[in-house]
Amino acid sequence: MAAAAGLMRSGTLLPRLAASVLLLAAWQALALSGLLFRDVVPPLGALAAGLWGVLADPGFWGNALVTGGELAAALAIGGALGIAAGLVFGASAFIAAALERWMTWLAPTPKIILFPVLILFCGVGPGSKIAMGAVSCFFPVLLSTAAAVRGVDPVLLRVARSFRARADQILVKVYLPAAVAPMLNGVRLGFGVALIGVLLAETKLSNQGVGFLVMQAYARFDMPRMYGLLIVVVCFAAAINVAIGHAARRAAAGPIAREN
Amino acid sequence: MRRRHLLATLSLLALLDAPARADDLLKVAIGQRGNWENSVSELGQDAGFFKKQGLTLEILYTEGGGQTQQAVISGSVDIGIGVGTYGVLGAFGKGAPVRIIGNSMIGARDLYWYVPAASPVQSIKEAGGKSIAYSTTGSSTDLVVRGFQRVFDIKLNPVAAGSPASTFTQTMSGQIDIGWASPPFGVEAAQSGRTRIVGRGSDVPDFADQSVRVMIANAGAVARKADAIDRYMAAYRETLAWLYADPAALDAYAKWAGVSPALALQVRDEFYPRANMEPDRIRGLDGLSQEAVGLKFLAAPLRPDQITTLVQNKQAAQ
Repeated sequence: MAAAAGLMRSGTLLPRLAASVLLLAAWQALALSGLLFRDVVPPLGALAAGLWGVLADPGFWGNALVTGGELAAALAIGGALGIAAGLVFGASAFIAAALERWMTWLAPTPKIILFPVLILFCGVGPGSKIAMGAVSCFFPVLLSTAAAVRGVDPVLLRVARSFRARADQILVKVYLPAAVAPMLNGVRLGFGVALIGVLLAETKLSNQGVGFLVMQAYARFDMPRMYGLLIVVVCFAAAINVAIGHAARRAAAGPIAREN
Repeated sequence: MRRRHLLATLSLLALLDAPARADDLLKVAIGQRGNWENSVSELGQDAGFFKKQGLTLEILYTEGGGQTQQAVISGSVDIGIGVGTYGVLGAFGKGAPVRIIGNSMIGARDLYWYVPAASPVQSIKEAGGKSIAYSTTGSSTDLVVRGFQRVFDIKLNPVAAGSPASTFTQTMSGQIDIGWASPPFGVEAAQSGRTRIVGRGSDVPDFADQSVRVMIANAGAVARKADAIDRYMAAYRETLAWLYADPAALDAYAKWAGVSPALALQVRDEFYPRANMEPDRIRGLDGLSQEAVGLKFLAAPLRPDQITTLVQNKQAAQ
């Protein structure tokens, strides 16, 4: 409600609603026009039925839990390693000069090329899917964290050092509070690519998970179910994205703003 | 007192030993879930045939035979089902650790080609100049399309269109004139009159006695798990017999593949004769090896001793 009220105040709610309605109307018109193969662009009624079929299927929730678990583990591993490496890269000019260029080069590499190697190391089960997600999210989290650490006001660091703060105190009392918002934005980016990595891995060699279900629906040409699954994934990703974005904004506002 | 302690210790040891005698685990990669040919392992496991042999299967599905073969060669899985024979010959010829442990499919009777109902094409014979789909280069669909041109003395325009699902989209939207599929995919569309079947793999007689797809295993797994793989083959044979004999098996397949029992029956009896799926009938490897050279999968045909090394199926050897 608060979000809707905020949108009303900013005057963006109406254009957003209009854009959504226009998009749905355009889809329906295209589906009914016969211009495109109707099975691939089903009408909205069929999409709604497909979505309902997915949500009402108990098997879907089991597979969603599998994907959710893999994604959470991937984010925890890749995110933690990314933050730790980002703190080191951000705080050490030497390490950044020596290695950060490599990270920048590796970051945009399509991680799916590593999947055969990850299967060798982590097996064909959930391990390789978690590894795909972790590798995918590691780089954006690392680069965002490193940039965030470098953006910390030097005055804060000088003050901390003048009070003879230890390294761990500087990390906890200065770096983390000052860099938490950009770091969360990095996690948000990392979440997106981790989701892609996990789902992609599930489509390649698996027997469970939402990616597996998507591939099975496509193999049977059950397009309404496939679209239903895609809608669920998009909604889930959007919800997590909004939640992390909200947390990042709150962190950026700082404790004083939050108290007010 | 001492005897009681001894008995208790022995009982505890027996309990601790129990997991060691648990079922052997085999990892199996299979492409195209829903296909009759690829149903044997999962349905057999559900029906308890593999359990009876002391096996638990971890079944993983891939996008197709190429990925299945890759998973086997890398050692990620022990066994792969439904892999194109030319690809296997090519990989073995290059030294990959792969062995053929059984036949998946003899001939190409399961493959069919179709057009949208409104298409002017009535049969492959009169489709000269038309675009025609196959899955990937070197696959059984590629070979049949080459065979169509040879048998009917026509020039077609072959297009690598991928899976039956992606081919269906391209064919029904007019991007390709003639699409390919493998049952149960697309059979209902043909029955309802949306599409017409204009050709079948069986129109090309060359493949009638050739194993176009095979069951493979990683060479290391064949050496380390020979007994488990033998038991896998035994359970596979038993499951296959059940699939063709018991109406309950058809119902199980229909449920698994998401098709009606009537369609399941049609798929089994029209497209997959049991004899063509017998795992111990590994046929035509010499001829396939010769042809693989022409298709550049092999630099030279495999020698008899190489084929003996490649094929690790005791029943076929007898």
